[in-house]
Amino acid sequence: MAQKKGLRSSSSDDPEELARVPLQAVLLADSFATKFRPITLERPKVLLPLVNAPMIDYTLAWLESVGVEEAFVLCCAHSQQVKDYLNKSQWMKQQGTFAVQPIESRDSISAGDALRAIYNFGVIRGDFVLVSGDTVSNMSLKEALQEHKERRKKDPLAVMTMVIKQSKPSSLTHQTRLGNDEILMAIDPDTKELLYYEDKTDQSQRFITLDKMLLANTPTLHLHNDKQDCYIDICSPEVLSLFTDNFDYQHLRRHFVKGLLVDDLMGYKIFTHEIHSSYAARIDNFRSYDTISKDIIQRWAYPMVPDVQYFGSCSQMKLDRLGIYKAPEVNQSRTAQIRAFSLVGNGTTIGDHSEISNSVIGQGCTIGRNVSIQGSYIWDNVIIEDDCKLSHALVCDGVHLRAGVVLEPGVILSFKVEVGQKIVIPAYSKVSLLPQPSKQDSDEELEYADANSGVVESPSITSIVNTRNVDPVPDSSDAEHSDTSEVGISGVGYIWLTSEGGHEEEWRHSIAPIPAEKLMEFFLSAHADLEVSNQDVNSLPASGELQVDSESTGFDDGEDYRDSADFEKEVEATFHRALAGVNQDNVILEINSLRLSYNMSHADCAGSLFYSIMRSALAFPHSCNRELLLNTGKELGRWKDLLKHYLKTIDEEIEVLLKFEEMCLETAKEFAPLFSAILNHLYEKDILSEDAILSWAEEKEGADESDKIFVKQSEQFLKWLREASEDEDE
Amino acid sequence: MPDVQALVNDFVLKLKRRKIEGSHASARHTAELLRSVISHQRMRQTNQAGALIDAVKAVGEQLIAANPVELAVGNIVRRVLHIIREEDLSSTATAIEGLGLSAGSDDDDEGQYEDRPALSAAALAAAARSTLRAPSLQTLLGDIPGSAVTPQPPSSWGDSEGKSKSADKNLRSRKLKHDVIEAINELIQDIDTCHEQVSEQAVEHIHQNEVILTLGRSRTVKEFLCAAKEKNRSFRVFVAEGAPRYQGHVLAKELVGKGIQTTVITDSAVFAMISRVNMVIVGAHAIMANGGVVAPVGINMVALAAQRHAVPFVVVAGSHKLCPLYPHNSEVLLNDLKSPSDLVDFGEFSDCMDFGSHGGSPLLHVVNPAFDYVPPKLVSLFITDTGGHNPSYMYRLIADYYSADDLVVKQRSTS
Amino acid sequence: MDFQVVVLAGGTSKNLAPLVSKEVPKALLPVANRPVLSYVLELLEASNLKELIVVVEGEDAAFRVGGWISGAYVDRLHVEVAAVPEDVGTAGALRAVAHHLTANDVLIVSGDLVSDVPPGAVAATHRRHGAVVTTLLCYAPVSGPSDTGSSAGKDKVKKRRYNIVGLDPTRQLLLHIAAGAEVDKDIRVQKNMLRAVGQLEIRADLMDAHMYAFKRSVLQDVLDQKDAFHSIRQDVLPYLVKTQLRSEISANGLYKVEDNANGTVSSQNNLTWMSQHREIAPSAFQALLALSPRSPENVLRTHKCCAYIASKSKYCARLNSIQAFSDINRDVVGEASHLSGYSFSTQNNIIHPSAELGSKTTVGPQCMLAEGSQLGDKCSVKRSIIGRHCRIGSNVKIVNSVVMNHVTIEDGCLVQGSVICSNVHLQERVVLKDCQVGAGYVVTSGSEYKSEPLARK
Repeated sequence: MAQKKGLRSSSSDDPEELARVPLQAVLLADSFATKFRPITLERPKVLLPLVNAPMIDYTLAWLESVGVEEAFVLCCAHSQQVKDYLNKSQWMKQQGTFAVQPIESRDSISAGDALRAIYNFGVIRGDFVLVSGDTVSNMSLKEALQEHKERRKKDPLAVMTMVIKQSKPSSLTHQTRLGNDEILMAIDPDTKELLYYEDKTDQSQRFITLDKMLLANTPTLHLHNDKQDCYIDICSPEVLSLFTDNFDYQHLRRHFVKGLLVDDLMGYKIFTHEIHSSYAARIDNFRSYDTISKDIIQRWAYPMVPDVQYFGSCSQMKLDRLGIYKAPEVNQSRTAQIRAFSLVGNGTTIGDHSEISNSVIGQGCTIGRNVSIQGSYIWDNVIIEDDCKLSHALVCDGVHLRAGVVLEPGVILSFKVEVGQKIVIPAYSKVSLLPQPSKQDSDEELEYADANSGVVESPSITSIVNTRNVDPVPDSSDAEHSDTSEVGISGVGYIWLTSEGGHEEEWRHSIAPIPAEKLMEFFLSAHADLEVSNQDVNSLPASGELQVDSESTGFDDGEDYRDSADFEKEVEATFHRALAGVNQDNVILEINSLRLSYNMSHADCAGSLFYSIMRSALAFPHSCNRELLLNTGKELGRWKDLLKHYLKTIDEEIEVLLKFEEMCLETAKEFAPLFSAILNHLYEKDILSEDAILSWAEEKEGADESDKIFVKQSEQFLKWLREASEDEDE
Repeated sequence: MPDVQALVNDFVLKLKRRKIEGSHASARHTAELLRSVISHQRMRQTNQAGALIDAVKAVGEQLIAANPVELAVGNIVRRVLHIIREEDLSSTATAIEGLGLSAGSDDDDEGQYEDRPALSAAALAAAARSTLRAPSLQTLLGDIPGSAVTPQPPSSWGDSEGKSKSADKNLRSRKLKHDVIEAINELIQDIDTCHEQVSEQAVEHIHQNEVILTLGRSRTVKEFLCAAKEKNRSFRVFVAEGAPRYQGHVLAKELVGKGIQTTVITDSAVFAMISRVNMVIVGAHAIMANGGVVAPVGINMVALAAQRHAVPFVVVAGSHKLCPLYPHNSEVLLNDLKSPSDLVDFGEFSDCMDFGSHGGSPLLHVVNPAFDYVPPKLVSLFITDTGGHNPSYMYRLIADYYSADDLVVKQRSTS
Repeated sequence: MDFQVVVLAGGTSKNLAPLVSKEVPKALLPVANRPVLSYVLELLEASNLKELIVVVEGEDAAFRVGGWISGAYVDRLHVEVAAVPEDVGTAGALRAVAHHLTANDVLIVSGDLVSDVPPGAVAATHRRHGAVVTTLLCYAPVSGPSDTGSSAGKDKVKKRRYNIVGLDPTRQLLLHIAAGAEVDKDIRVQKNMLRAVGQLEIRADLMDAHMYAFKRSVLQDVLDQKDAFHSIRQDVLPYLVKTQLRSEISANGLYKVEDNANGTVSSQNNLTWMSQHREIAPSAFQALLALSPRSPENVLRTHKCCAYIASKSKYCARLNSIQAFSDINRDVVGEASHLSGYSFSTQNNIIHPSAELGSKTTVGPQCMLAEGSQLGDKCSVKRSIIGRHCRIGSNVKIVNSVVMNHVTIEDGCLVQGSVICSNVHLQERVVLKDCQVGAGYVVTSGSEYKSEPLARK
């Protein structure tokens, strides 16, 4: 509550604060994901070259162009590398209105932690732009900011503005062109408020279920699946403190946004701003890396295109017809062909009869004869010997492909990997000098884990290198024996094996286009899906009324029951830990997170918490009812605060009452005789307010006799209450 | 001089980021920048001109590289180089005189120092402002003393200096710089006033009840038309909207604001309307040495239409747009491909660019070039601030403004 | 045009008791002294739909309705009245008359609709899109009639809702509709529907006005196949809407739909419709389609459900509750007076020349006195409708009420917000507030009633 108060005050004097605070930005220089492994084991994602310029340059350049004055770069994984890069980059040098300040927080393992770190640094003074370091955009923030501030003036609860952009997902794979899953949003057309947000939709569910309350205050809302989340957010300082308030928020969308939307307890609102002409996208996986590279080459991100050297770093490019970019010193054989939408970096040589199309080739590469490169991304100083075939592969710095190597679609070769002659690397395989991290490591999907593991690995790399230098056939240490054979004689590197589950994702997120048979599968499954959906429409009994009910009981409620059931168990378990002496805040925390994961209402929490309290009371040995009553009294007294934490509104209190009734009827009949007494007790301990009890009683009026027993039982108590309230009225 | 370097870097960045665009703005900034570069240049005793030229070239190279499409930058750099050479010549000329009548008392030396350069500067200014025939003559006059002495390499001036008085030296050292800066100021002034200069001639070209057609929006064109209007000529203007940036709409507003009878048409309607047009007046991005024009996209089509119907095709441009280069492969090299989002809505076409399910290779390619190249044979007349010229005459003007050895602005490796 | 019209005139509906009775079926309830049915009929006539089938529940009700129609519209409309047994539901009613239906498209109107939305417009939309069904949506009245279908007691929804509809961005295709009890549940939208259009507009402020244009073949198929379907609004329509993307209306109906659909696609490139076809559209995909062995049955069979949204200015209400009855009566002489077809006097009321007013009797605006009514002295009539040949004594106040024909009101009565059916007799000093008095009832003198229905046992 304390911070709450703090918020109120801060938000109240916001307007003038907004007036003088310079526009700030927080740039997360870490994706907190493993999508880009194994590359990210050795280099942070934000420094990976995108069309020959590090991603972070695009983001910083954009931030500067939209008039951000202070940008805080939050370095987590490989923080040293990021800082070193920034220090030698133009951004730190150039004086003027745009100041870049790296902030290091190695131990942040999620966006949530990062933001909490920022909060602790206390550098954010007003509204700020929150982006991750892999965002490419040329949009202008002016009106978005304007709208945001307008709204803030009106109600201080509008804490965040999300930038969205139209982009139709594929109707088959249900993923956007950027390889993310389609996002379902409900937006109020008038206020642009975000009412519902669902990414990671499970395809099994054929229905979107919107809470009817969404339509309570607005007559109409728009449901979108054709919008792309640009992951550019304009946030108010509250956002940070919100993250600090609930530690369990890790993921910006999955936890924070969902959290705000699902429990309206805090009443914070999120709004959207749609951009049309300008470009904005975030590199989330290899597919988006591919797509965005192509977009840049096709100049959607203008002026951030290779031939306008927007940031000093990359060398001068010349744009030829059909989107062919060439650096001045490219030494290309006359018979070599560079086809449309390709880019060749400085100092690269291309041998006879080689063909390059839809590819990006870095600086100082050497490409032999009769090499064909299609839709691939080749970074700097790569050596490709004769007759290699690369299609839709990504090849990092310093890789050496010996003659006749074939890379099938979707292959990733990490830094300095060497592949022996005539080796065929199977599709979607990832090769790195570092062995694949052990299971539990890779399970926790964090880049940070590698920061230190990378350090650990480094000797092993050197060892490999040495062995190779010693003798061309590098099987000195048995460790590499298998691996080298994987990548061929005189090859170096481990082929990472992808678990079957992972493989499903592979084709979704790889650079390679989706194979035709996959599409076919989807096409057919789409039909099947429709069939089914019809069947369940038909299977419904006749009249509209019935239809609905049966439907809902059909699967929905079924699930709900199950959910709520094990939700209850969970809560009880937690509570028992609390009995074992975990302190209350943590209990609250855990229950909160449970609530989010099961997405239950506060009422449910209150109910099940109460339930478990009573159970514990029941657990105490007791001979007669009096004793039981005493125990219950003690227990309630002991957990009053915990319970109160969830009894914010009458509804929740009523929920508790109903729960109690239910218990008395079914699970714990012992309480039945004591109902009124305990009710009284609850009132005394002002766990339940009298309005709650009264309204509960009223609710019961309509009910049939069997339900009424407890109302009857506690009749005189109720009467007393009523009188009391009347007295107050006079 | 770090501060100058900072200025340069800043400007380079601005150019790179397309913060400064449009020939007028960039020309002006370039000139100012070069002025400050020169004024901060420390002057060695020997071969000052050389030093200045190197300094300017060094900067100029960066500037041109920063945005090769913005030809005006290069033009101004070359103009400045030219100015330096001119001033150097004139001052050396005075130097000869100075040596010749070194017996003369200081004060009338002074006098000579005063008026001589004044003359040369005046000559230059005149050259800049002169009309068809004038520049050639006057510059010839101006050149006479210079040409007399050019054979001597500037380096020799150093030792010849040695003999003359020290006071004289530093006087002259300051002199050259001072004159150059003077001349650059003139240049800047020219750039500022070029619109007026051009539009002064409007009345001679636009006659009563004529129908003018233009495409897109060029400030020069606007000033030109407005000037004609102020001289209360009454005429009608067809404005082709100039897709995809639709600057034509803006122009139409402005013209109507000035009370000119205006009709907005689509670019594609140009050919239909051209037969009713008396004259086509368009602005230019740059005028090449061969009289070809780099102009906003769509103008080539207009030019062709005009030629087909024998309608005079007039290009108005300030002289800072004169470019001493010849266009090779111009439509690509001197072009700026803007973002496709001007043409199509990304969202609507997003599914056409789903590389994932379309076999990886982009099927949709949206091209949005900024410029057209209009070959000289389609242009009937250029109107610059020095008057009206025929395309075939351009090379001459250029000869007046630029000196041949500056065409490639590369810092010669100073051994 | 080749449209057949079915007017579902209902019978003696329960929730209009005591207003309706054996003598006065719902269809003949007077609105501004004209049977409510006449509004629909004239609406149809106005858009030149003269082939009508009027379906009435119950034989004698049908007899009365038929009698009245043949009297009123003898040479204007070609009407045949069909009687169907009680509570077979709207769907049942249609099944009963199915054999009469021959035209390509059928327009189905509820007989209790009082509106000025031209049915022609609905029909036109239907044809333009080659839709399977087109429904008329109008803005739900803010206050007033509570929908019969949705069960009462769901009070926790503050604002009364009639339907929840989902429309595509062009607001022409009907992609989701929740009627009845569904309205108060959470909204469940088919994902593939959303995917088809990309953007779905969900609105709660629209009401299904119960005017539909159906493709006859489809309608009949559905009625035959799904014999459990009971109501059009709650069964047939939602079913058709749900199965849009994968229509399984077999045989003849379907192919018509198909080629119609393609026709519309090719003729006017309705982007949305294209995108609805996107299921099979992606270019890379046609090839696969060709390759795949079972390509023939892979062709997605879709049909379209459209909606015509009446503009806010239009009046549209259904007389399906007592509340609605008095509301509509009020509106028809009030704001929606153009419907009544009468010419209003300067005081903005209608007093038939043959009506007799006593001295010091005032008739306020938005009132109506039908012919042969007599008012005594010092009466005052405000915002009320008084039927034919009523005899009203002195010192009578009638406010916000509807008084039907041949009613006798003796001196000193006060009638407020009530509905008084024909042949009722109010003796002296009766005070009625918010009451409904059934036909032929006699209220003994001096009695006072407050918001209760009075009818003969």
